[in-house]
Amino acid sequence: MKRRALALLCAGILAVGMLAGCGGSSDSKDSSAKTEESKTETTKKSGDSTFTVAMGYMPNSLQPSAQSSDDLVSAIRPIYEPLFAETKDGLEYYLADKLDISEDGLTYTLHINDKATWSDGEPVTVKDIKFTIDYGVLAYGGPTSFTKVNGGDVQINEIDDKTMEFVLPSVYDNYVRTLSQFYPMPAHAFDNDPSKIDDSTYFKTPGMATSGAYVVSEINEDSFVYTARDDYYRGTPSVKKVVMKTIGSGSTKQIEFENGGIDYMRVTSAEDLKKYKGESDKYNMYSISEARLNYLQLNPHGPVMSTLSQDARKAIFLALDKDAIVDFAWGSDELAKPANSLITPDQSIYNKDCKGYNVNLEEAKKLAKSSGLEGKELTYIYNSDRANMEAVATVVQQQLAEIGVKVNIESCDTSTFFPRFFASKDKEQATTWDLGTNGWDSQRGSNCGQAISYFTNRLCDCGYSDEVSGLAQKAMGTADAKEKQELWNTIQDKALEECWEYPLTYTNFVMVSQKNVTGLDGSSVVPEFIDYLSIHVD
Amino acid sequence: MWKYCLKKTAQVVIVMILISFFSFAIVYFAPGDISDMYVNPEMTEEQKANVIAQLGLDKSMTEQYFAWAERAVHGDLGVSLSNKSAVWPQFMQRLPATIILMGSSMILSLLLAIPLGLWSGYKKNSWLDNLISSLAYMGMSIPSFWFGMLLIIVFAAVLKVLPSSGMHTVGNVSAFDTFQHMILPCITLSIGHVAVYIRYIRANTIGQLSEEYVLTAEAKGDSQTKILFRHVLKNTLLPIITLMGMNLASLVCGSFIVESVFGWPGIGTFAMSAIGSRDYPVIMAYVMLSGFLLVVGNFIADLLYAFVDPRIKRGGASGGK
Repeated sequence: MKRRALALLCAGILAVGMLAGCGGSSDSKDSSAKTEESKTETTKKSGDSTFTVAMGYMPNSLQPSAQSSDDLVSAIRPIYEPLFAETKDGLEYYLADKLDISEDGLTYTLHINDKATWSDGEPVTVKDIKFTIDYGVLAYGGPTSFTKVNGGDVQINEIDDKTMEFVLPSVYDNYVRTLSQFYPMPAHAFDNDPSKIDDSTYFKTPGMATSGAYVVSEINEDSFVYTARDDYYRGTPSVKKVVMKTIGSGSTKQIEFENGGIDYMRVTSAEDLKKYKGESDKYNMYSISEARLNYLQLNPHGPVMSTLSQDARKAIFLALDKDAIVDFAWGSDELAKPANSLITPDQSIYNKDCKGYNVNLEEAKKLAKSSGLEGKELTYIYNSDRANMEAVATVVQQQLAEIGVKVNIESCDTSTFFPRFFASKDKEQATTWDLGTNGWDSQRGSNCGQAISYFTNRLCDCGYSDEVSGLAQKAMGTADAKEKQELWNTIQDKALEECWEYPLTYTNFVMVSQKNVTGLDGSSVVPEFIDYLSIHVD
Repeated sequence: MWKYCLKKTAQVVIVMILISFFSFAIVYFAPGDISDMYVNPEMTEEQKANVIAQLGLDKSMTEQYFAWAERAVHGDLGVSLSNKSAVWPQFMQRLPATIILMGSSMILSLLLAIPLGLWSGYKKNSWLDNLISSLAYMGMSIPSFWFGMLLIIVFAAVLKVLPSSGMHTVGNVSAFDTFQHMILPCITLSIGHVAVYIRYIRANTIGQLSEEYVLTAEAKGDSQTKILFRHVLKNTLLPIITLMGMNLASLVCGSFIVESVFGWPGIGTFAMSAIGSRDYPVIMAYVMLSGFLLVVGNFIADLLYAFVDPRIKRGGASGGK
């Protein structure tokens, strides 16, 4: 009897523990309603004007050119500035204040802001830009996208301390994008010798010269602390301290946010969106276009796909109902909208009249039968580290089952997904999948670099014909705006006719912040908050 | 004794060589191409070839292994492929955080396991024994990452009495603040070890309680507590010494997951990131460190065993009769 009672007690404890562990958001909602102030010391005092950002991983260095992931780019943004940013509405200038492009599209003249200075008082000059470009060549062991385009060398001329000229061998429309992703480093800190950077601890200790609104005041085991500069050329930031701290994996970020430990968090599920919108007395919500296209790729080298005709590919695309996909995977049109083109609405070349694909199940079934697609088994891969992709895979699987196609889903983490998805055709991995979902982002303004890579099959063999590739190459080499737009309208339609990539969604970067944090929507580029001057913490 | 030490040292060296070779081979032959992590599709072929050559990835497996081994023998564990910084200093920078967590976890495990195991063995088949044993079985069964998340939800989200992640509150360098941050990861890391130690101590306690020296002590009128902690404890700890030596490496490996869950800035999170980016110099360093701790831990356990039990030093049979 005693043993039975003990066993029941232990089973009860285990069951309660499991339920608590699986409780999720409803438990968090109840707990966040209980107390106004956290009992822990992780909450910063709101009067300190400190903006705290979560990082998934503590970078080893704050060197701008070493940053490759969103986390790390976000970590350096408050302290290092780009020359300019491409936004939906054009160029937003930072260290540079002007970019002139000659009529023939070959000469780019860049002017550095006269007031831009490093935090140690030295002016930002073209020497810093040349120094950073030279470091890139050294690090890559060869020419980079700054120094070589279309197989020819770019001539870089220093006109004066603040003016620099880039003369291209041929028109290359994407050079603006190349320059926009450039974060200069201080040449004077290394005696203008880029070979000194890799062996130096300069970017690992506080006191490094910064070009942004903040300086690095502390580097801890699990956080960086940045302090506002009084001499920042664009004005003194309202937020006096920015803290970048590492947060554990899983749902820890949400707990940390609800405890007041971090100031904002991205919202990716409809459930969380509804929850935080319902607590508008505690939180602010923001939504910014992510300038991202999620798409479904058919692999021309797939084990089954390589044997199928264009009609079969068309059958697949006609069977898909993207409204249902968005509904199931994102649950809210605030998080994502169905896409009509392989170009995003934030890009200046976007054609809103591009028809996209519309579901037509009857036609899809007919084509599936006539093309021999019916009864086939396709392998589908997706990146499990990306939100919503698993749900997309599930819906696609169900929708293709309607036309007699069996889809075998394989999830991959980031480190295995990209090598497989972008494997060149001579690699075995290129032949191990038939369908896959991916996305390309930061496509704003005139930036069409990623689209070009796909349409010209340069990124990987996406299946496009020589006609589409040729049109894309021509568009890249066209300086005339009207002609370029006409070409891109044609490319957008023709690419869809060939049925290699299905545009799924355009996503929004939806954020929830603490109530005393405002201005997050003042930044037009996310997630790195291109402009920290717009952020306020009351 | 010296012969014994020399023999053990030679074994350590051979084991380390084998560990290094097989782990290098596993990373090398893992599906996919390591170079894919460090070239991007927008590079030209010339740029890709340059990057691959710089990283040494254009050489054969044996060439890469011997190049790595040659440097490793001289204390140079190479340069991280992802951040281009030397591996060893990065480990050294993060190691103290892991050691603090590991050390605290080990101490906590012993402090909890010893009294619980002793009482459980002493009160064999009682309700107390059954309760402790049940908790021990649960501790052995629960996955550490799940338990860690459960603790975060209960103590950070619901009760809000402890921080959910990190090692310090920003701006607060006090030991108490670090201690607060360490509580949950330490408990998570300890739970499995406490459970195992309890079972071992319990079994040994039961065995020791039937020995004649215990009967003698009882006849002399010694209290239960004195018998347990002064006489029985020393003998029950012998296998625990061995276990602790073996668990030294598992504490480092266990911290791998726990550090990720709690955002603890130790070598675990560093290694986790390296695995994701196929950063093989860092992976190799981590594997070598774990392997080194395992063999050295066993070595130290063997030496301690000989010191703690004079019968082993004399090479006599166990029981000393």
